[in-house]
Amino acid sequence: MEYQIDIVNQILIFAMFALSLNLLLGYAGQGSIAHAAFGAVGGYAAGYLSAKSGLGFAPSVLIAVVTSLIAGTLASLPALRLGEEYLILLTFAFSTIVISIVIAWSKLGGAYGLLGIQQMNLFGHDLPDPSDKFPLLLVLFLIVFAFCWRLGESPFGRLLKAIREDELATRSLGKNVYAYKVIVFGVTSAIAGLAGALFVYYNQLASPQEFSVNVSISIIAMVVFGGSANLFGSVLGAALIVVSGPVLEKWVSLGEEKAALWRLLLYGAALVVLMVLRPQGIIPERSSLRGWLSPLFRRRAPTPALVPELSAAMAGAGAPAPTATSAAPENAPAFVGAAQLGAVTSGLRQDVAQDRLVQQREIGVATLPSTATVREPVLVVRGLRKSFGGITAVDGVDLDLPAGEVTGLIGPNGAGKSTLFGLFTGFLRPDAGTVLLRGTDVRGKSPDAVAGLGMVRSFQDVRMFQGLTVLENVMLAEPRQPGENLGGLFLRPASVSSSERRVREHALEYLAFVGLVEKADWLTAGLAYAEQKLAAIARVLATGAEVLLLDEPTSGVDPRWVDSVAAVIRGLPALGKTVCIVEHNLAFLEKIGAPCYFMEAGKITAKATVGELMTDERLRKAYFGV
Amino acid sequence: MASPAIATQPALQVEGLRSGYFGRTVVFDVSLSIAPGKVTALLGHNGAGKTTTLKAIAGLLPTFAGTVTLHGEPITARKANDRVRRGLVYLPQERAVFGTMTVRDNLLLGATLVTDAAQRERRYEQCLDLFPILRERLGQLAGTLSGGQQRMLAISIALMAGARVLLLDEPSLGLAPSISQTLLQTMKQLTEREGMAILLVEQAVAQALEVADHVYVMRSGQIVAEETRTAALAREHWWELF
Repeated sequence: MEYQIDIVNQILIFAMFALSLNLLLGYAGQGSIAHAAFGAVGGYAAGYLSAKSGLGFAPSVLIAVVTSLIAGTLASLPALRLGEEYLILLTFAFSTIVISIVIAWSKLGGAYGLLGIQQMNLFGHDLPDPSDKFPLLLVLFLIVFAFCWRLGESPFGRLLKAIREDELATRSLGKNVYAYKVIVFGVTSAIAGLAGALFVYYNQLASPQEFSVNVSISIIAMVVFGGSANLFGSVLGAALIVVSGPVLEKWVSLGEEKAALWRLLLYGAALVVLMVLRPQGIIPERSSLRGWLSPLFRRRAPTPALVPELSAAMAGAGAPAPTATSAAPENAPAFVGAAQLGAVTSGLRQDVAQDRLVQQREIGVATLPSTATVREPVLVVRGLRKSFGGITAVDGVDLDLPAGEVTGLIGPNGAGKSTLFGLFTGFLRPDAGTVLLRGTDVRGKSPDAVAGLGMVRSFQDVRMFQGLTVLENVMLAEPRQPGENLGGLFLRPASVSSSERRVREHALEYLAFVGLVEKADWLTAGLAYAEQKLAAIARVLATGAEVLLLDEPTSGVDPRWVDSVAAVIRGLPALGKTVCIVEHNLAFLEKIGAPCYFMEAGKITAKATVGELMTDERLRKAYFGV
Repeated sequence: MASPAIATQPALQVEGLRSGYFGRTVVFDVSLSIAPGKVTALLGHNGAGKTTTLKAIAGLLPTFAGTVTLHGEPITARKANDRVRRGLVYLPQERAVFGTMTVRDNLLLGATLVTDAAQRERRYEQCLDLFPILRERLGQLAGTLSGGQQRMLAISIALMAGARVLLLDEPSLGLAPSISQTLLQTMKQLTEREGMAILLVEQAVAQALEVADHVYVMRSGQIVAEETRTAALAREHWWELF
């Protein structure tokens, strides 16, 4: 019995390693091969304190956790500024360094390991047998699981996943990606340190082999086998890999050495088989009992009962009733087109717009520009210049965005329009010139800082987080969520859950605004391109920023829907928004009635309404070629 | 040019096609017939299943049911790369360029399967005539082009592949009006001169109708209308079709 409990105990310890690595690798997408090395930092710290200083179990484990937290944070500072490949190399180097140090340092026992570590001890009682240690390890495992769950399945975890999907887009929403990466690296290192310390106490031995790169890779295998970004998967993965050793050794009765070899062979084979059959792991992301059941409901959710309403709504709108929809196959209604949804939600959309308008007036009158006063520019750009190598993309641009107005920015492909947005929002650093947002020079500020000051951009190539749901994408954009920092998560759970409810409501409103509320729970990857464009508008709106820079919001969006987008954008100034739109659809800009800057070859060459610009023969030739 | 027997055979024949993502069926029983030397437009609102249809025809999504026939040869069981080899080329909606390679290499890569050097040379010049800005940027890395220029390059890569049937997903996306008009006119000329067939998905419906010989309309994953260009143009509001 003790033998089986011993195995279970090891599973519990390795599950802690796997859970924490999953936060880093599965959720945040940061590939580290030093996870066992951080375990070594904790393990050796605890072991040394126990063996050499005679410190008790609890305090030495506590110090071990703090030590690995510090080590992890310090190691991450340079590593996380770099790209993925460098992170792998740097963590490999860190791992090698840690192992070399413990081998070379005789006080730490050298290659043979550190001996003389005391028993685990709780309230003055030694815990000599596996069955004595089991309750303690189980409790610690449950605490670690709950802690990781709180981090992963919360606004914080949502943000980590966004970082995994697209760092740049995450920054554009005003999130300090670097800080989050450092935090998650530090926290997961601390948990690894805890697991390492428990492991050392459990065996009463700290040896270098137990924390080598091979062990780090085993932990990665646990995460990947079990399922990235699924914590239950990590526990299962840890169990499978830990159990595989003793199973081969005892029950298939191979010798210890042979078993080790067979184990490696099995890992390799299992890895290949899984990669082919189930690349997402045994328990994939988002799959829980509820997750397995909900698709059944969701597929049935847009019931055929909706269809007559749709027909009525469309007939009412002067369009012919869709005859084909009723004849569609049974599960066809699950794929309801955006335009039809628009018909359903158009009533809601206006209500929402009005609601929000009232809300804004009540809350933020002081901060909103009064429409009655003279429209001073919110954004003032002077002499902006940027070149890439030999090509001058932006060549001395002066531009004003008047408060509470929509301004267009048009011009031929390659004129520098998107580059301009990049320069405004801190994605690119100007060579010269100033960008004043309400009097603050934002030049040289990071994208998240600029977003914090109230200016965000959308992307020409959309950049929605494909692996997140549409709703999550929009929820992410909400600024200053208490659930996005550790203090809020653990100290003010009530405010986190109330904020989460509010954020969800807001996000659904924004999705209703663009007519996508019915697809809120879809994975973004399943949306049509144009629907992603619309969702991107909802996401930008949800940031609450005052200045919105929209890069081709209607390209690829169908013409009838473009009218709805135009209505949405025309409504933005009433919400106190200042908008600049890059667009090739001039009819759209004309509909909005926006004055436009005309940009060619890096320079602003004219400013007027679309109609006026197109009566100018030279500009028309430059743009239309006629 | 082509013999009458071949001329009557559709370049691409799709029958009862069902396809989708993540095991979810998104297009139902789609049947299309694309004539050689013609531009066929596939219209419909966002999310109607147009892109899914193109991807399934190109072999990039699984075919749950139905058949795809290219110039009389069944290709339903063929993989995407095999279909390209047989002259079925797909231009995706995204910027499908190789960012860390030069514009020139991108273009030549498009012609990997074209063995006839003269043809490759001719296409190369055609592409550069169509998009003069690319000629100025031949040595530049594709990733550093502007969004619209990357679209131009992606279209050129598709043209370089020597397609007999070209599936174009919103070629005018992100292009300035002058360029997108020239583009569609050039496409039209290519089909007439070289007998190529084009299946065109386009949101710029008015522009698409200018060049399309035949129009299919999709809604909720199904083909709901099929018209000749003249019939479609005769409608007062073409969007009634949606």
